[in-house]
Amino acid sequence: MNKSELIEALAEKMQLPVREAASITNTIIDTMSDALAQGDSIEIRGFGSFVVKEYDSYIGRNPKTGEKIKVAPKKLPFFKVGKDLRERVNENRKK
Amino acid sequence: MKKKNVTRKELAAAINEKLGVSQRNGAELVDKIFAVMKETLISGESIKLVQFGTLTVRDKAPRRGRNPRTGEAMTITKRKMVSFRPSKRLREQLNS
Repeated sequence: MNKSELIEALAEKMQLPVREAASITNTIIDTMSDALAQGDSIEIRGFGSFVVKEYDSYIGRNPKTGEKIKVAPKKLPFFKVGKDLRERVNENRKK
Repeated sequence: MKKKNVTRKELAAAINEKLGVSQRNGAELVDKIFAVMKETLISGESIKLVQFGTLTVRDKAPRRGRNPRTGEAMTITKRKMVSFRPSKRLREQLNS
């Protein structure tokens, strides 16, 4: 599923014009990206949470050449799946 | 500055503010969009949001593990997990 399919599904379920569903979807995605860019976390009950981890700079190696390189400090977002979603993606397996 | 935690409530408020949708409808829209994403992942399909990232359902192989309390060896059955790969744009946004 890509963004336009998500927008179409939302439009259909909420009986909304596609254009409106698109603005809503974009607002949600932008708000989530901005939150993570500020270092905030996101927690959607039943779905999952996004947390930003900060890494200091470190001396790494180029795995191909073995050459030492300095890796700049960086921030990366991580997703942790929520309990309900985690259980439900595994439901079909049990049947 | 203390780090905030964005929940459905804040997302509903953002929709309300930017699009003039009432707070209550905003909450319903947020719930619906995550419900759609949830159903998609439960059906085993990935979600690719170009600006944000990709959520995929991956199979994890069974492995030998131990009960941390008793130390007893056991097989952890194969299972599925949801993983997230941030888009290049999101990674750049976090580090700019």
